[in-house]
Amino acid sequence: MTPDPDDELLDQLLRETFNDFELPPASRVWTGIEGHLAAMPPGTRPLPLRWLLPVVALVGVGAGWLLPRPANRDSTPKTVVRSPAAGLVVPPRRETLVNSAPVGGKAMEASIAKVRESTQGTVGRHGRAVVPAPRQRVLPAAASAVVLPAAAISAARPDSVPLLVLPANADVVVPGYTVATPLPDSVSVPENGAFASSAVADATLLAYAGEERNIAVTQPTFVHKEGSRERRLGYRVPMHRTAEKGRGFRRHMAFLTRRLQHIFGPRRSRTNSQSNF
Amino acid sequence: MPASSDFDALLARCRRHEPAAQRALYAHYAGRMLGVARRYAHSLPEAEDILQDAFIKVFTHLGEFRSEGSLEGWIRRIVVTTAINHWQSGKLRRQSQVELLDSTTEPSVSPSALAQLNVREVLNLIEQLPDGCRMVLLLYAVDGYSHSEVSELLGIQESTSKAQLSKARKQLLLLYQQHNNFIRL
Repeated sequence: MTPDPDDELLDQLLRETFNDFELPPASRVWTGIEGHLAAMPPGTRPLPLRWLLPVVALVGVGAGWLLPRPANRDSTPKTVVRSPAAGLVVPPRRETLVNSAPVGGKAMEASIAKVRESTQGTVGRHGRAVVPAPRQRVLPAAASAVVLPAAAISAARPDSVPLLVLPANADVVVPGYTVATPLPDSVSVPENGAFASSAVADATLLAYAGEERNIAVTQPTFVHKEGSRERRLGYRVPMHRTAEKGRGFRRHMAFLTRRLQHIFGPRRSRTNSQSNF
Repeated sequence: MPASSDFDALLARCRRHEPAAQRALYAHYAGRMLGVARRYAHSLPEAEDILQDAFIKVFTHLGEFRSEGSLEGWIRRIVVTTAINHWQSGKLRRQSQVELLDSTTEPSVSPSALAQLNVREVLNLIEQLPDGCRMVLLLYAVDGYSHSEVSELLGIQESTSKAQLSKARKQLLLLYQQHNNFIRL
């Protein structure tokens, strides 16, 4: 639609007429403006969203960092002691006994003393624990390995009860039992003759004769040496599921914390390859 | 118009609510804005009320001005919007309705004849228009709003805005013709 030139001319004339139209305002106008501005509350600054969101994120991450870690669950002392009637007595750890004393009181201490007395009968002449070993392969759990010479194994009597000779302070793993004790870096095995003439010469490794090559194997660590955490068979320790690390908000915060550790942590490669359970 | 750097400093001081800077900004634009308000008002006191309310809005919302356009255009839009709000709220509604001239009569004068009038005489003619026609004529012809903007500001249809504009032009010429005949007589 083409505009009418007369209409355009009229509009142009009106614009030119009012283009420089000015009027001097009365002084009361500014007085009114000043009064209104003075009556208004002092400038309310708008929320600095540019800074508020990062600060909220930082506070959230900090709060998540300070939340109790789910790893602390395992620090609760758990004592597994079987009665001597079951055929095997395992002395609990000293620190476990100390920690559990307030719980059980004197009754618990008496029970522990009884257990220790019965345990003495199973200790060998050289202060080594003699534990009947079942068919299950029993190997020390520490990083060190028990290396037995093949000659010593072949000298064992085939008709004897299979026994496993381990140092007294070694970790002994039996089905249904787990005892965490310090393990020396190496275990010395006497020479052939001494081995046969000793009181523990009955201990035979016949059951492992066919697996002599496999004895000198370093098994995965069962007992964590760090802190007071230890593995008990009576408790299921999650090893692969992150969902066990918490529920709801704590779980999300743990995940976020791990991600941040992975990104900003100095030991990035370690964090990446090994989850911190 | 002060230099750009000085003007920016003045704006920054106004945003910090410094009274001296606000006074300087008001003194710079008050005359022109009162002229804008006067077109939409029926009297000077009414225009001054519009100007006061408009500058209160300016100083309150100055932080929202992004310097993408001119500050004068921004203030002008505030003044126009404030004037329309005043009119819509009934403050500027005239009690007596304007008697329209016979719309069937075609004006015999050319629009160029209005060039002989000064601003006071043109303003006097515009004030005799009905409010709807006057608002549409001022918004579209003088302040450069489009029909869609006019319809949005006044809450009317675009077709209504166009019809009102056409009627306002015709009535303005008839008023000028009547005024001119009266002077000749």
